Amino acid sequence: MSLSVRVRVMIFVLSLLFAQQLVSRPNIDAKTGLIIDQGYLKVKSECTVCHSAKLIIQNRATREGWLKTIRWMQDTQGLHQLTAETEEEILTYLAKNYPSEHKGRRANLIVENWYWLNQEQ
Amino acid sequence: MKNKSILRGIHELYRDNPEKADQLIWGREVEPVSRRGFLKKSGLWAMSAALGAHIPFADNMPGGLIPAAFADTDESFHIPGKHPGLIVVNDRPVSAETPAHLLDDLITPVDKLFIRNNGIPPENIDPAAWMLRIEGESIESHAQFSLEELKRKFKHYTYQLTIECAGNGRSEFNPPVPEGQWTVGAVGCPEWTGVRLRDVLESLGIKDDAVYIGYYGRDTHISGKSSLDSISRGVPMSKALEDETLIAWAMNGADMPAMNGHPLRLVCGGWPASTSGKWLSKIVVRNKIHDGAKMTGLSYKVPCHPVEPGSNVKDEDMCIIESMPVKSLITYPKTGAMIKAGQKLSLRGHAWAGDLSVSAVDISNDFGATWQRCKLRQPKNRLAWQHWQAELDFPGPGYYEVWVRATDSAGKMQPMVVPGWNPKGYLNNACHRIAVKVT
Ligand code: HEC
Repeated sequence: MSLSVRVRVMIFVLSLLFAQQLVSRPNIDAKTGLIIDQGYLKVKSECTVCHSAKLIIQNRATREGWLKTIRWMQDTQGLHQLTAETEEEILTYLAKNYPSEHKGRRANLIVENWYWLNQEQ
Repeated sequence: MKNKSILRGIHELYRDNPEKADQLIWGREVEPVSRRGFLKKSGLWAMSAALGAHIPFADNMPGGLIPAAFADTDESFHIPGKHPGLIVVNDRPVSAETPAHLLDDLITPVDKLFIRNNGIPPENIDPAAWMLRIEGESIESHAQFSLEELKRKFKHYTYQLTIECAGNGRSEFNPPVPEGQWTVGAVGCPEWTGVRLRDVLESLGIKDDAVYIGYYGRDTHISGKSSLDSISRGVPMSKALEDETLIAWAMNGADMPAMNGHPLRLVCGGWPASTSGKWLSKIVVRNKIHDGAKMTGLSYKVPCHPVEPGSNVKDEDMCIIESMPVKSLITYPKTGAMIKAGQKLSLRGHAWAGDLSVSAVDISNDFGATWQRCKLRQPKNRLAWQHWQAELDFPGPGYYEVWVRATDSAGKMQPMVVPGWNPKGYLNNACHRIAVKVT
């Protein structure tokens, strides 16, 4: 393959990836910040009574991890029993939209603003 | 790392639900018919305090209106009496942390101390009517004191004491732990004034079988269920009876802010801040380890023996966190600094070590390959953080990270990577890092 063909192929592949990104970017519920997907209304109604959805959105866990959190709230924090169907829907939603992600032992630093430092001394 | 999605500013709160934002941020409720004005003085007071000016036509101010002074700032301001740069980790219940560069003061100003609420703070606090009850099976006589009696009957002490949330740094654990995603700023070291817990307990007679104290506060559970306490933790007698363990009413010489426990709180410096109960209304002296809310299960506990990341750990294999581990921060410069090649960089910050003191602080600009010793000051008193300072040369242009690493008086150092994973994500004391570019 010549270089220019290779570049064109790469651009094509990248644009496909980009389009995929655009399509799969989730819609966000303006009121709660929750990702709009199958089950989010259940989460909205069952899970934002005591605390805001922020506690959910900032977190990531496996299905098992989410279940553990729910059981902890039921055992100690006054969360009522959910029907098997509701629990299933909520767990599936959480595990899909807020899945556990691998972070490694230390992530790269993220710098929001580089700035020229005027040293005081 | 700082998770962008958790940053939530005043604008976002007002966009979501203006009247709710009024209530969350300022405790404001409008007059129900006109939807204007302030139903409670406290809301007006909070908003005026944050604006730094009183609001002459407050009665006409419509509900849900973002104060103009904040309307065109992108800084995330949130909580009455708190610095606009604080980052809200959770808005209900309120939790907010302070970015490292805002912790530069030797003594943390009240507006820069983090907030970790477990419940809904009490409203309409009247310090003149506030009572503290002392009870429990291991105190000779039960008693109650008004705030005024506490101040009159016992000697006052002022100490600078470090308090840090046990979950500070949780956001770095892998696999992630589903709870408040604190980065580095759930720590501070203001001066606290109050009476010694020891003096109060000894005046009533501590029984020989006393093991632990527990506290209760007037905040309520977020579910609204009155049968549940939001949090009721405590410390063993040895910590309770230390000179520096205070029942405090003042921070930096003035009444403390509502969100930090006004009018009365415990302060147990060097231990998880959850032992320093806020809105303090009752202390119990127990003949066993206190079993209040968040003393049991996995809360504020770590595996007694190290576990593989992501493990299930049984309750009985978990041990209560006592002293916090050695740790440090770079508070100047702010991360992202650019300097010219050949310039020296001045750096400074604080270091602390739970019940111990800090014996050395070192910095590195080569990812820990070599370390340079910093100038380190003595603490103002036991359990206060210590200030360090250094000047660093850079070998040439490029991207650098400056890392800081403290060593405690028993010889333990901060790790450079995230330490042992635990089910609730406590005690991450990995060294703090900032990014620097030399051009
Ligand atoms: C009855 C009240 C209540 C309801 C309803 C509730 N929670 Fe919670 N939840 C709590 C309390 C209390 C906490 C602890 C808050 C704190 O420590 O600040 C909590 C904490 C959490 C946390 C953080 C974990 C931790 O250990 O602090 C997550 C995640 C969470 N809740 C998710 C959910 C989800 C998902 C639902 C819906 C199934 C839900 N909550 C419904 C009371 C509730």
